Amino acid sequence: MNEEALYKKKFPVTGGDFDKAGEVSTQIKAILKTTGIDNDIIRKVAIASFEAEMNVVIHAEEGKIEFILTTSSVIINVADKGPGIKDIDLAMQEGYSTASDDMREMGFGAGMGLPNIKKSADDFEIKSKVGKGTWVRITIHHEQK
Amino acid sequence: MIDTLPALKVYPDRCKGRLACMRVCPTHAIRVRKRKVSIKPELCIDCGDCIVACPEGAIQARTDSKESLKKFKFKVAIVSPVLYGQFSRSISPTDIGEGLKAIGFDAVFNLSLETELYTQALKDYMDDYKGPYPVISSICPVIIRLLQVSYPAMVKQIVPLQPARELGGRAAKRYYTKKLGIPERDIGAIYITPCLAKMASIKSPAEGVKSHLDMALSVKDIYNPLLLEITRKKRAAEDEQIVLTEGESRSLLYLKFPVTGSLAKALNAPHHIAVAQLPNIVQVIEDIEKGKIKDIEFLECHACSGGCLGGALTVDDRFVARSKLELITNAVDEDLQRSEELIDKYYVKGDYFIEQPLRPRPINSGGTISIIEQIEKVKVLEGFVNELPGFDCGLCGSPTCERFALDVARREVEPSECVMLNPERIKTLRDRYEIFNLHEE
Repeated sequence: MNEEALYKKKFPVTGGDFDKAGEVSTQIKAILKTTGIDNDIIRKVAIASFEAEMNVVIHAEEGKIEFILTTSSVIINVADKGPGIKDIDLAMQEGYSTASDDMREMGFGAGMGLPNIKKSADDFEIKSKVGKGTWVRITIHHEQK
Repeated sequence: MIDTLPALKVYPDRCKGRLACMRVCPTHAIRVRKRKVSIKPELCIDCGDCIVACPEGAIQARTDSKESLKKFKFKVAIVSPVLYGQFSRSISPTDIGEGLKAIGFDAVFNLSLETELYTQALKDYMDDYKGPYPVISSICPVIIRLLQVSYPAMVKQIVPLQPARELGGRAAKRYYTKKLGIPERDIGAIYITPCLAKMASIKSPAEGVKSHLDMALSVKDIYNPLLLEITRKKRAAEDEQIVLTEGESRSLLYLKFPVTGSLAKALNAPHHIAVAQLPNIVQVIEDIEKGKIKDIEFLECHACSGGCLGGALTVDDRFVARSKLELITNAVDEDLQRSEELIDKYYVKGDYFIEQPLRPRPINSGGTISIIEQIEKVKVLEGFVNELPGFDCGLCGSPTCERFALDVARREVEPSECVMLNPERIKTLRDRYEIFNLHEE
């Protein structure tokens, strides 16, 4: 990234904490709403960051979400400590999920998380190490007003 | 008295600065400075929660008075079905219709047919609709304004159809212009409203076009004169049976609509949710916006508790009113309610859309400043918010610490108004609220 960041903020996420799940994306959304960025772009960011946040809550022990705003893009970096993903190509398929039965009973783990993030993002990178964790970078361009 | 708002009249001289209104306002539109209330028009969504909250009556609904009916040669009452649930069980919709005529209306229109037409139009709209989902109901004007002000990206999901009350006004004018041969301007379509939002939607419609209704009288304001006339008439004819209004089309769907969930049910949408009360609605909309709630086709919302029966301008308890409306609908055999026949006879596909598309109502008066400047402001703001106590005491006159920081940034108020930043402020407040020391004589 060679572009200067206008704004940066890091948020911690706790695995399994469903009470607070979604709060990070709500906060990111609130910050973006004050900037005058197009509402449809904000909604894409909200959806992508929410799914990413949920992935940490559902699968990982803990994680961090970093929100960066540059003059041309919104970047969401997500890093978690968790089981990692064995086969990333498979995980990107719609409907594929490794969520536990407990999670599925709560209505999570429909296997749409990663595909939804990819759909909302202009640029999407993912790296993972089994037994260590997963790292995701989501980039969404915004037009400067 | 200040009346710069479409739905509210504010009486600062009655205000004692108790902050009750400021605490309930769902969009943080209210400030109390120097012990006097003020409302930011750009944030107000006409919900009326402040009216109910104020113990002093410093905020009132801006309904029309019965006297202003006189300016129309021919006066048609367009009746919210809520009215039919407000009286004792022995008073039927027919009695209420007669009562309305006795207090000065020339004709009475209920919304039986229009409710059926609206529902059919919505079914057709949903059939042709390609997304994004959910489609959001437009019956409650508070929801339209809420989305326009706070969730502009979702405005395009609002049903672009005229609600039954507007269709009723249009139909009444068309019908009586033809029947009486008088110009449309001589016909007054007067809505009998359970809430101030629907009244505001007549004075300043969200679509920016003229409403088909001319004015609104509140259920509360006409209740007593109406009851008097009904009782007088009933004494003459001792008929306690529930009868439908004369000339009424045989559909009672409209009597179910003031209850949240009825519209979604009538639509037969497989995945719908029905939500009442603003805090719940805000929660659901936030969750939809970030994709937490998905696969929902239709969202029905009412700002008032339980639906329109909980409107701020009603008389009877909403639970009791609901049971009375159910009593009326249950008394009429389902087989006699012929909605399909009505649709066949009157439905004109494509005739029920609003005339202009709904648009967001931008509130950010920042103008054309760049994103760099905006984000600098956000940083300054965050820095200041961190200095504030964060318990939202409201003593500064802004509803939350965050709003206070915003008000300071806009130079509407000095940072020294915060009692935690400036202990001197307590003394000012004690004087202003005439609080004396415990042991003082």
